[in-house]
Amino acid sequence: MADSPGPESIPLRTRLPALLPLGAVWVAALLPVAFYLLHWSDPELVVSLAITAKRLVWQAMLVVAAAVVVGLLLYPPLPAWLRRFIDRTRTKWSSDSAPLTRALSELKHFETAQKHYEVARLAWTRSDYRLVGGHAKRSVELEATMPHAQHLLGHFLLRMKSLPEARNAFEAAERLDQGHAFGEALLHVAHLQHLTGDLDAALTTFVRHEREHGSSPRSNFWRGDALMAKGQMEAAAAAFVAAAADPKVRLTAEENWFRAQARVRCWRIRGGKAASNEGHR
Amino acid sequence: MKDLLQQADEIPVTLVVALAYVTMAFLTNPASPTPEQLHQHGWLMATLVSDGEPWRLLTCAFLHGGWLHLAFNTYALLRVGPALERSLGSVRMAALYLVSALGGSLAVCLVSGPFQPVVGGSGALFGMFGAIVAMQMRQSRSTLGFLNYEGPRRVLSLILINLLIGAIVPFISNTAHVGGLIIGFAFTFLFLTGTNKTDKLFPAWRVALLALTVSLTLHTLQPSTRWDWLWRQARVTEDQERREQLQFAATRSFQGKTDVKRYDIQFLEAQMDSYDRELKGLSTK
Repeated sequence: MADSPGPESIPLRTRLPALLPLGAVWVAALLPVAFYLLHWSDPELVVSLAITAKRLVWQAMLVVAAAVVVGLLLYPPLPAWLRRFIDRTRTKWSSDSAPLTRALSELKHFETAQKHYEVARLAWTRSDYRLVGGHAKRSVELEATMPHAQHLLGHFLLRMKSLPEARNAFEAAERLDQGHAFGEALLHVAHLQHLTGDLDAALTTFVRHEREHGSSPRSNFWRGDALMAKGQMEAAAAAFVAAAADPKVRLTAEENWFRAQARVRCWRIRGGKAASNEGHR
Repeated sequence: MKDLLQQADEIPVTLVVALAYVTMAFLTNPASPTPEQLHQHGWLMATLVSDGEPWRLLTCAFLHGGWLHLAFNTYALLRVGPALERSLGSVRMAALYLVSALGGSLAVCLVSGPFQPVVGGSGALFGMFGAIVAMQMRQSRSTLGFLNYEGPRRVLSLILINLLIGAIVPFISNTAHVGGLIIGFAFTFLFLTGTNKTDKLFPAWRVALLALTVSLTLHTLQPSTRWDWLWRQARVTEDQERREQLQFAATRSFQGKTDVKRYDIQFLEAQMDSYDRELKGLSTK
């Protein structure tokens, strides 16, 4: 049995964090060569380029540092993004690779849907998307009645921006196990209904989700987004206010990210209202 | 005697390096070597390396500036080296020492001034520390899993404390430490601890590190952005126009500003003459 059934085309944006440092090393390796070649035709140009580059790098570093400090103080999504980034990186770097290696080697002897799901889940924790897609798909192919495999496949497809397929996967997970993952599947169904343009169905599903599983900053934020797309600005503003409300307990990095975004939406809607009131006067 | 022979069989590279430290120390007056002696035996100076003496990139890693320097580095080598050589093997250990020494020297040539002399094996020793961290990282089940253990945490503390000391004490070249640390870590992580089959970018990283090391070494030998090298190029050029071009470029590079006047060039010429006299004095004494 092959390790990864079917190659997945990972979007550049997802691969960028791994490719950027490699690109930076190559640029650093090619710069001296470029300088040397250029020096034969114009040594002055090389020197002024080096001086300017050094100055610009320092200035850029100062500007970035200042912007980060100001952003951290003034713009809520930035610290929330940083927290989520650190959280994801920590999970990725501190998750044990041994079970994944073991599951992959076991798959070489015989394949089962559960084993494929296990590989996909462990690879998902380690952000190894090349492995996730193939194994999650194979797991669903072998055993279409596993809600957790459908759920994981939905997450992967959503990350890959395959929205209709992701919606199908989450719908299948919800159909197989009502309220799967504490309402997580249903919430994603609602969100994907919105993203695929089915606004009325999305709003109905959001209401159902809230009734059955309660609300969270994420569910309120996504509901607000759907309401805004529908043109119901008052209701959207109320949803964003609910998402941005002080939670009284410490939120997870993921939920905190949606709360921070909701706070900015609240400002924008308030700003928009103020501007339209100014216009009326 | 039997123990010593057994050790020599198990850890030849560590012992040879330690022996080289002591031998070079005796060749250069172990108590307080003079600049002339250190210069003759291969201290590192960026301008000499670009002047056609590339061996200084490695020879400086076996020279020390006095008893204390020698004792400290030999102690560190004998503490860290044996265990590392037993895990890596002697050939890899030798490669690690030389590559880390090269990394430290490249960092000095690229960052410090062209006439800054540097001696000492600490760049290579930091490379060995980096190698320990890299090995722990590769052997643990997750990238940061090694931090759960006391040993690797101690190595990290040791690195941080030594970098801090290097930052505070003015005559310690922290640039060499950082250069050696980075290259020792990267070299061990990518080349000495096997292939990572699950990471598709692993071979690309290997090629990139190799390309960077070669490119920086060539830049150290032909530093087209450094004023002293441009100035020397101007001196040997017969074409008048090219010579002026190089002189202007050298003066700009020396001053770090773009507007250069005729008297700036004369000032640099005088400066360069005095450097040359100094270097000539060192090599003839």
